[in-house]
Amino acid sequence: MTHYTTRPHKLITVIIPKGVDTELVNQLVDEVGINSVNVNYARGLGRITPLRHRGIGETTEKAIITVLIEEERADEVFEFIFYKADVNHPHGGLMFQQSLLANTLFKIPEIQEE
Amino acid sequence: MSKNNREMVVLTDVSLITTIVQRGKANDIVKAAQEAGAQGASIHYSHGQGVRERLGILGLAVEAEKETIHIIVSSDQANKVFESIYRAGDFDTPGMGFMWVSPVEKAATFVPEDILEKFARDDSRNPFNARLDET
Repeated sequence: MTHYTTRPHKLITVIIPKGVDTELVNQLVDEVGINSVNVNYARGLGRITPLRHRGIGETTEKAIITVLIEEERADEVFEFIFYKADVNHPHGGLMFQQSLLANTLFKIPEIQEE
Repeated sequence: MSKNNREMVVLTDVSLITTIVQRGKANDIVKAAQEAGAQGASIHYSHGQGVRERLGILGLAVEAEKETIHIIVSSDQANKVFESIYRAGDFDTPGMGFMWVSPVEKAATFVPEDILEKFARDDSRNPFNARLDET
């Protein structure tokens, strides 16, 4: 049984304000059918932050979402996230895509509904 | 040049610098990166193992909790920012942490209209070399 694949996959990382993440993850699962999504939280520090007026070095809470996706669907999912997470506005966040050399597959075990 | 909210500007020629340092040192690292031209960073906590365990009692001086810093920079700036972080983080000292640069195929974020116009005027420096209109 093969536990990993060399079939080309991409890793999409999205850094967005905390609060936007839950809805985005739900949409990725329900609308795109992806289950290889991880979320962790971070503090963001930038030259121009929403709280800059409060002083230099002010940080904001961010969510970092990583999505593993097959190469063929990467562009479609990248665009989906861009619009759904509303990245295209000031302080909307940042996203990027990287290629991977190898990765494992993630399948949720089939659980019988009660 | 007009731009509406439904237009995606894709940036290429960008790199991701990932740095892992002892907890409490991330702000100095980000400051050094910004001085070298980086725009910002995101920082999260993590737990590390390595030199701390090998140092025995002296390992207490090494913070087990780490801060992981992600910085996206243009590929042109990557070496300069990398070097600046290296110096600020004292990475030539064992146990201080480590860092790497990884390639990014493409990135997207909000780009102000005036910046787009500035780069459109000088296409040779244009990092926004692909534009995907809403389909």
